[in-house]
Amino acid sequence: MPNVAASKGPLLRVEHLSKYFPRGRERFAAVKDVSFELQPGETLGIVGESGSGKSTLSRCIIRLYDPEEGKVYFDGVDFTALSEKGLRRKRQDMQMIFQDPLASLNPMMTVAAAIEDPLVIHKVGAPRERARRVHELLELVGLDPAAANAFPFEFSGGQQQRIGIARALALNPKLLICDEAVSALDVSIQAQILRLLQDLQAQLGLTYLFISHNLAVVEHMSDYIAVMNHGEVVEYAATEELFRAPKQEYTRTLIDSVPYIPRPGGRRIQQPKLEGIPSTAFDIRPPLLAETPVE
Amino acid sequence: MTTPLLDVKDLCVEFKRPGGIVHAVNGVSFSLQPGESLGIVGESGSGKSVTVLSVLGLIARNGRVVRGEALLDGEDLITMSPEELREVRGRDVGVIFQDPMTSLNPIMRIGNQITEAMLVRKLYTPTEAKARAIDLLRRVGIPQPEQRFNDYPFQFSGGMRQRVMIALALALNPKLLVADEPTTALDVTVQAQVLKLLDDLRREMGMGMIIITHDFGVATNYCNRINVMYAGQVMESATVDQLITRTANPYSLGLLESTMEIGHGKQAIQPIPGNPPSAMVVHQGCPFAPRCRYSTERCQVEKPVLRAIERDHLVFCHYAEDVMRDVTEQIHA
Repeated sequence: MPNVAASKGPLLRVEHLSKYFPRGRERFAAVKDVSFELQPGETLGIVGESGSGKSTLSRCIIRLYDPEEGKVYFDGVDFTALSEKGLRRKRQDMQMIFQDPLASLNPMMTVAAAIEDPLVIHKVGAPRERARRVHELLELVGLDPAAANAFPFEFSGGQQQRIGIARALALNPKLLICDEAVSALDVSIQAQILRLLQDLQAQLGLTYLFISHNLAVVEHMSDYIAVMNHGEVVEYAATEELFRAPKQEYTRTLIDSVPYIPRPGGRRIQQPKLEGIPSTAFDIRPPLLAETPVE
Repeated sequence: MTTPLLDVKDLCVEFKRPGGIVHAVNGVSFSLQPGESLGIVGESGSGKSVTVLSVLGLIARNGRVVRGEALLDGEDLITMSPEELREVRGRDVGVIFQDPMTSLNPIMRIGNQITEAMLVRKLYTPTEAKARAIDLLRRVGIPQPEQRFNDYPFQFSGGMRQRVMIALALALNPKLLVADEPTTALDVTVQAQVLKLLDDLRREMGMGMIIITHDFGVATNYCNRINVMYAGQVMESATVDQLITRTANPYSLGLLESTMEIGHGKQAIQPIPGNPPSAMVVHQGCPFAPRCRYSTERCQVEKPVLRAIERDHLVFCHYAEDVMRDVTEQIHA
C-alpha cells in the first residue's frame, strides 16, 4: 500500500481509542475513549499516575498492543488498519525509547551493532554507509564514537539512554515516543537527557509523544499536555494554560501535590494546599468496569 | 546550646569490592537537634544513605566504618556491639525504606509485625500491644484499623503499605526517625499524603527526623536543614532558606538549577555537564572540580574543607563566597 503523502495536518491523530484487559471474569478498560491530535514538530506530554493508562496508550499507538476500539492515523495513514508488512515499513517513522535502556538493549550486541541493527533490519545502505551513520548518530547524542565497540553494560545509565536514543533515531523517524525515558535517571543526568531531546527536536524537527509521571518534566518538554486518570484523558490543554488554570479537580490535585522549592520569585502558580488533599482519595486501584459487557 | 540528638563526626565508610575499595563516605560531620528535621540530598552514589545507615549498623557486610563517631544522645553508635545497636534501633530509632513491600514480612499479618517489637522487649502485654498497634494504624491513616490489623502486606496498596511501615517504625516511640527515600516509589498524590503524615507525626511526637532523598522539592518542604552530598562529602549544609537564596556551593547550585519545577512552561533545561566520579577514586582535590564552572587549578590539587561562611551555613568549596555573591546578585537583579 503506498504511503499517502501528508504534507498538511496533524502527524498523529488518535480517535476514540480504547484498550481492554481481562481481569478475572470481567474486563477493565486500561484506555478509555482517548482522542487527540499532534502537529508535526510539537510535543504532546501525557501525564498520569501509575495505572492511569499512559503507557498502554503509547503501546496502542505504536501497535505493540492492538486497540479494541478507535483509530490511529499516523502521517496520513490509518495505522490501525496496516498489515504486519505495512506496519513494519511504517514503523520506521515512529520509534520509541523506554525507561530502562539497559533492559531494552541486547546485552550481547556492541553499541555500534545495536545502533546499526534497525538499518540492517530495514536494509538501509551498504555496510560502509551504515558505519558512517552509526558514527554520526553517536556524535549526535553526545557519545564518543570511539566507544562504539563497547557493550551496553559498560556505560552509565545516562549514556545507555543516549544509546537508546541513537538507535531510535537511526531510521530518521518523524515521531519519537518517550515512555518514562528519564524516570530511572538521577536528577543531573535526567536534565542532560532532556536537554539532548530538546536540542534534537530543534535540530531535526522531531515530533514527540512524551509520557511521564513527573509533571515538572512534562511541563518543560511539552506544547500540549493530556492528563490521564483511570484510562481517560481527564484534561487536555496547552501547557501554560494547564498549569495556570487547571479545569479539573484531579489536575489541580496533581499540581498541588508536587513539592515545590520555595525560590525567590519562584512558582507562579498557587502554593500547595496539602490540607485540601483527602488522605486516601487517589490511593485506590482503578475500578473494574463491571458494567462493560463481556464479549 | 542543647545537646544534639545525633552528632556525627568525621565519618568514613568503605566497601570492599572485587575491583578495589569503594570510598562511600569521606569524612562527613553533621548534627541533628531534638525535634529537628534534616534532609540529606544527593544523587545515587553520593553516600547519602550510607552516611546514615552505616552508623545504625545497617550496611552490607563488605562495608565498614573506618573512622569517626556517631553519638546518639551522647552514646557512640560506632563502638557498640551488634546486640546493643539492635536494641537502639528498635527503641530509639525507627527506619523507613523506599520499598515497603521488601521491608515488610510478606507472610506475617501486619498487626503482628507491629506488635512484635513491643512484645520482644516485654514493654506491653499482648492486649496492650494490640490496642497500641491499632491506634498506630489509625494515626497513620489506615481506614478500619481493627480489620486491617489481620491483613497481609499484599492486601495493601503502595501508599497504604508505606503507612504500615511508618506505624511499624513508630511502635516504640523512637527519638529519631530515619526515612530513606520514603516516597520515591509512590505516586505524586500519595507522596504528598505520606510526607504530610511524617511531618505531622514528627511535630506531634517531638522526634528528630532525617529524610534521605534525591528530591530537592521534598527536602525543602519538609526539612529545617539540608545537607547536600556529592562523592561521599557534604558539599553544603544550610537552612532551607540559605540553601535556596544564598547557595554557596557550585554543585548545590547546579543541582538546584537542574531540578525541574512546575509553573515555568516549556523551556530549555540547564544541566550540569559530565558524570559523577567513580567512588573507587581517591580525590586529591575537590571531587566536583572536573564538572565545576568555578574550578581553578587550586581545586584540582587542594581539597577544600567544610567551613562556616555565615551562621549555620557550612560550605565545602574554595570559592564559596564568590558563588554566594553571584547567586545573591542574580536574585536581586
